[in-house]
Amino acid sequence: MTDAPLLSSLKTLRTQAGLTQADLAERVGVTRKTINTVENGVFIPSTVLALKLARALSTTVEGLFQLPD
Amino acid sequence: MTTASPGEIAERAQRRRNRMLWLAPMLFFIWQGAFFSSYAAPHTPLRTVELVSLGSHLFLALVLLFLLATGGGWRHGKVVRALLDDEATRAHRAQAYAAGFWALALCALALYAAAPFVQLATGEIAHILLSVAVAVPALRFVMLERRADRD
Repeated sequence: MTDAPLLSSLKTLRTQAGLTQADLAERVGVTRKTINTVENGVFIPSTVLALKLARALSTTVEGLFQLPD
Repeated sequence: MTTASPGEIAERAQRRRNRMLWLAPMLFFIWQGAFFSSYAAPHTPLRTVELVSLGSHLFLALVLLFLLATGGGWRHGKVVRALLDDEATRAHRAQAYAAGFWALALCALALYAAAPFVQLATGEIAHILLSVAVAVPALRFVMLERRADRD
């Protein structure tokens, strides 16, 4: 559900890490569909999921998601 | 032979759930036609065929509501069930419930407005409201789930 625009670097960082959506989904304990919706900006993840994603990609939440200026 | 990961099992179960939640509301609407053609003039006591029809409708409604509420995957383990009810699924469910609420409110409003002109039995009203309460959230949920799967 998109309440406010959120810029996401998830797809870039995931591909840089050589992971598929399914690989990342397995690492953070969600389905591939959830990763897909986060990458497409359709779904804004919870704080917990954002932290899990950041940890799985060895980055910070701010490195993954940014608010537009 | 390779064993499927929980993610792969969940994805397959998710597709099955979507098919079920897509087909069943269609069945509901077909049923609706059959119900109103045979039950339009209710007679007491109900015939066996009507009792079976009403019972099956109620049973299917309960199964669908349970499937929608729990996420399904009942024959799978805890891990797969958790994946079938992950964050995006819960968000889709919340949106589906909201759509169901508005559809139900509009349906009740329409029935209220039609009341002085059309005579409807309690059973018929319950049948209409239950069908809307089940079919609209189910269809909305499937729409959102399918859209989420697209790249």
